Amino acid sequence: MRQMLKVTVNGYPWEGLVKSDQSLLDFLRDELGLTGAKKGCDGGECGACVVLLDGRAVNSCLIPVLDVNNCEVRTIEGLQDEQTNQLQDAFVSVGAVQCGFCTPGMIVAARALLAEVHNPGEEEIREAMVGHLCRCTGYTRIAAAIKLAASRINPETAGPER
Amino acid sequence: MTTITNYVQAASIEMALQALADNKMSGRFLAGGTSLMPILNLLRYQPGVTHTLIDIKHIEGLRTIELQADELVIGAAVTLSELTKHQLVLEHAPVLVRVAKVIGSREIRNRATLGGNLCSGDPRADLLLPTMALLARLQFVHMDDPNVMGMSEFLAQGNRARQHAILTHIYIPIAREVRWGYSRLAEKSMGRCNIAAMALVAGESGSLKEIGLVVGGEALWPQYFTGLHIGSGAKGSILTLAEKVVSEIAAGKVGWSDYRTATAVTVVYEALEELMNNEANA
Repeated sequence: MRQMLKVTVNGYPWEGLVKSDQSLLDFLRDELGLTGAKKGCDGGECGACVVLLDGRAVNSCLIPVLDVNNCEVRTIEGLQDEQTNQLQDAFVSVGAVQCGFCTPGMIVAARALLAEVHNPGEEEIREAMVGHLCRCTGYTRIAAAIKLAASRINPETAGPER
Repeated sequence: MTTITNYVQAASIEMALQALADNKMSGRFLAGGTSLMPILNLLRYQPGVTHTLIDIKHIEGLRTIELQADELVIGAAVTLSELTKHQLVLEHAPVLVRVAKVIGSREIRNRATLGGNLCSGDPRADLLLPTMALLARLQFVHMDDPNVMGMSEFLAQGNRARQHAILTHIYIPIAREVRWGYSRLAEKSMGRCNIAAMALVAGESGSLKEIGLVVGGEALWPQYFTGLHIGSGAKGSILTLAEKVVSEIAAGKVGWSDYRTATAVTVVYEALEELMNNEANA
């Protein structure tokens, strides 16, 4: 069965019929071609599919697409602000990326964290990344990258850069 | 070959109940979807299994948190993130915040709801313990009439309590001055608890004579023990009490292993120990 959906994705309004059994993740990837959000576990455990829904980080695999009617969705492709750029730079410079499959979800989640907490401590960062699995880097560099990005975005409240 | 054949966004409780009545065989209430959707995603390619999702989280009044007389009234569709940040909850039911914070990940808590957790039909649902310990009452609305029940009755009724009904509000008494201790063990970092325990004492500090203790977890609907005595408060007497409670729980349970006893004793001990420390600092 197909039902009408009206949604704003990365600032662009979209309106049309969607399959009622489709998840937000499948809609983004298969209908809109936005493949930045990855399909990992399809059960909300790996974090590879994380996007911002009305500004909050969510697992897009756990959301029926019709549930986002009249909402605003932002994927990694739509995050092009200073904070996101700093995060991306920090991930690269610290070496927090290897295969890169988990990285888009991590950047989106880190972006949501930094919007809430300007200079998060190690524990806050690790707590925010609980829902993200990485099989390459071992997490230490990911936490370091987020801390580095935070210190560059908000130098006045950060400790010394390491 | 689809599982979700229809999606209904309910604007009112009446509309949701009507949609459920219209879809007797396939209707499923959807709140945060963090428990339901992984199951539906798994079932997606099984022919013949259909679901009509009736989304109840947009119903007005189900996402509010307010004080009414001497009770904290929390809408069932309040997300765990909202719960952990709300000033009234932080002030009057910090134990709920403590437990909600260990559920899933940030992304999960941004979607998962208090009502969804309580009504998931899973004894491992973490919020069963604090709501029971706080003597919360649950308001269900049926087609015919509203029904308010205590947590014990809710757990005793099982699926019948939720059948053809919507959990709308959770009432938590705030008059009691409560100190508590909490511990849980989960196999996975984001997993539901295998075993969890919450110890609490009400009344003025220094009145650590009668302790309430709730223990629950996998295949173990929460059990509330009241009137417990901790003896001298030394580590040995805490351990003795933990062993006594766990042996009572284990009695007659099929498949309850020595490993389960050991982990349960540890978790109950930790909860009691934290209570003792909180009491000492009160």
